[in-house]
Amino acid sequence: MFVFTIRRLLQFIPTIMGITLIIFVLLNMIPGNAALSTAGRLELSPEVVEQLKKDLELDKPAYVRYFNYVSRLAQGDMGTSYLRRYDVKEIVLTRLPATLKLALSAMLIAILLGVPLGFFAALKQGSWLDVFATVIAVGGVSIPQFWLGIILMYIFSYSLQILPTSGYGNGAFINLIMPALTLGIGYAAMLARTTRAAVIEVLSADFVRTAKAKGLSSARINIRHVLRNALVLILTTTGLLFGSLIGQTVIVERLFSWPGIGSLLVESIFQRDIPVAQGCLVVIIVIFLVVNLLVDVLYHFINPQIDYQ
Amino acid sequence: MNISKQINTALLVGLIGFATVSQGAEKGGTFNFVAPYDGSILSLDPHKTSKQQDLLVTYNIFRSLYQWSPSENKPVLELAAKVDVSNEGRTYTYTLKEGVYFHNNRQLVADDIIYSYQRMLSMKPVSPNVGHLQVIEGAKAFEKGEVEHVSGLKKISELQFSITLTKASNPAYYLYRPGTAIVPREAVEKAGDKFGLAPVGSGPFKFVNWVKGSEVKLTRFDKYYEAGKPYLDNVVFKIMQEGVSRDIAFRAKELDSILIEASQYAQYKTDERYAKSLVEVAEMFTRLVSLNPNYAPLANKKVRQAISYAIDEDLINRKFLKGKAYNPVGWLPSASEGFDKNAKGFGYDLAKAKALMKEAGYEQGFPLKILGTANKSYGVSVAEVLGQFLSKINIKLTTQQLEGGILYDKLLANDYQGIIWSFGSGADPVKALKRWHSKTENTSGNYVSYNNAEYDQLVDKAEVTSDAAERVKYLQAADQIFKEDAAVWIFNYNKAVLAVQPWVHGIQPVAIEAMYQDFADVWVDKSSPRANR
Repeated sequence: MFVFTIRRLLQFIPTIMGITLIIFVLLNMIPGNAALSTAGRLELSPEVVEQLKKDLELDKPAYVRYFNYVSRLAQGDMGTSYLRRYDVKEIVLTRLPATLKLALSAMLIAILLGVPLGFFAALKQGSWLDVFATVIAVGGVSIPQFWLGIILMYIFSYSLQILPTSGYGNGAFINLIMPALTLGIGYAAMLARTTRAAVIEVLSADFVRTAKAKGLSSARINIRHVLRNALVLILTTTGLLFGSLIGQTVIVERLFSWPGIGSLLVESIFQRDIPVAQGCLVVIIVIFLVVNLLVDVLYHFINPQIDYQ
Repeated sequence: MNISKQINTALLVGLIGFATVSQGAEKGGTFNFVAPYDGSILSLDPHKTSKQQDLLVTYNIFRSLYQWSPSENKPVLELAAKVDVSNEGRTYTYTLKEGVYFHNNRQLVADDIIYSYQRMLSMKPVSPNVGHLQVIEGAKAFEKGEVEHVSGLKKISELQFSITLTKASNPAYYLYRPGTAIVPREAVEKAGDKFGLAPVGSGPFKFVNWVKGSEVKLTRFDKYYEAGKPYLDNVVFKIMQEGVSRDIAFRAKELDSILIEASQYAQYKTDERYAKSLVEVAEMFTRLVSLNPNYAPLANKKVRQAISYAIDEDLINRKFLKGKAYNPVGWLPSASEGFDKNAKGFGYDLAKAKALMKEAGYEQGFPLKILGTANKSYGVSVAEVLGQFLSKINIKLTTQQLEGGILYDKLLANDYQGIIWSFGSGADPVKALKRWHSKTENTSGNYVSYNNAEYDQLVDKAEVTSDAAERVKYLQAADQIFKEDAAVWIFNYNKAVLAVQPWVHGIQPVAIEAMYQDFADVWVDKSSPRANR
């Protein structure tokens, strides 16, 4: 296990290097002038624009800029924002707690709603519960986050006036409820579908039939054998969903003025603040890699038979 | 509604709000305002940002030498008690007000003005607001590092200093800008790169905290130099980019005032709770379609005029933009000093448009592609409406939506036929018209390479004359030439609208940017849920 974890951690280095190169190339291929965007499109004289390019090192060849970027990154330096004009690491890390809080809460909602719903729907295939779960799952996946957020806002903020419409509120729980629900419901639906499929597959396995033949109780079979084996797929899906969720919070963040990395990434791309965009993407990728490593490690605890060699 | 009636209504609505300032003003309370534009607040260092989203906050933390006066619709002295002009209008000698303090309790002196301007000029990377200081003699040499001091900035005594300009001009139109605010040297040097994260100014409110991407909180500065002001205890700027979120939060009484969008305007106009307290202002932004003269049909003046006659902009502004716009008569907007209230736009005249197309040899029309952003007030959706008008003169219109940065690159590279956009057209009318001067480079604003010697001459005369009435006459004449040449198709002046809660007093119609509210003048009565009394 230890060797496996170290090996995976070492694999992070070439993965991150490769991804930074792709990110650098893609972000620098986007049309649009970073110097002019930095200036706020103030219709500056050509000399001022040239000076800005020089100050921001935009006059240097792309390979020189990439080499400088990677050299700094290796030392933990993400560079300086073109627009904010201070440390990118600080800018991104300031936003990270809000993103993690939102993503973890949304994932918790998704697991608490989706897994039981999918599990019981699979156990009662074709019953009203299964139909209900399917309707909820399809509905949850289909409802646009933007629309759902507005409806929640209208009900809880305008009509009932029990929750604030938006904002971070210094991290207060009350501010988190609506953004987390808006984000979590769609993922709950996805997890419900995955759980249902995983449980149905396990239910038809030989060891379940053997357990039934041995006269074990339904509860024991379902929890110790069915759920435990289905968890491998559920956990894999959860890990992948969590990783993607970090980068997909932008709609919810904008709607609820939630200060996360998703909205920072999108606005920095629009503003051509390339160092900040690169910083956001690196952090998102590292989170994705770490979550997937944790999922791999967790497999061992769910099913010790999984061989890491 | 004709244009003069529209302006009168706007001024009346605005002045009602303005007239309430300080009459029985009550102290205390928190005001929840919005920062409604795209993106987060980037920096609260006024020298490092040119974004309205940032400057609408710094406007209340800092003060500039001049300040925009909504009642006079021009910049007026702010930090100085008086100014003497000499040297044929090139040297301005200022005497600062006594008792102006920074938030670190140190008195503002002449050195602070000189330090602030020199800081902007020596900043690396270059300050986006540096263009406002180029009018000062020696600024360029200092910026290039050729001299140690700006020759046009001289300290006379602790509270006196002079500014010498490169040519006779009114520095008020440059030095009122929030991006030229005065900062205290010791606070800047102590904070270094992070001055913009915890700014220290001399404005009515002190910085308290900033939750990045969410809100900025300011609190009353007790040593603020205007007696009795500010009235409010706190002002909170909530970053809310989505109009629908702002709308719900305002109606849930979480916000005291919001900027409303065209799609929301009709609802607010008919909502008896808010209709009477809407603050409307003709902002100094002109909406246009840039017509590229490098595209052969558009090089022909008759074709450009035909386009102007063929489109009923009044109908578009009334129906499509729900009345949240003013019909144009030229480049200078109705709030501008140079606006000609007797001037008339092209008007809708299809027969004349067809005749002009025939005279130009384009009776059979031509294809025209207009590029634009997703902006609801001056983006592709507006351009699409033009198609049905232009089809009547056989112009086959297509549109393409692009992201702002890409669109801007196309504009600079002349890689377009038409681009729909919005440009600032104030506060200095001379500067606004200089955009289209033949000597103004493409990157500096003359995107259609407009070139008319008569126009240039009139703008040049307006720039040098010291006679205000004469200047207005030149400006109006130049503006009419520009309109007649139809170098761009102008379709409206922006009408900015703020919805205001009934307990709020003192929100003003600020023509340079409606969101630049000076909260020194704003107060809330006891019916506010955040009155705290």
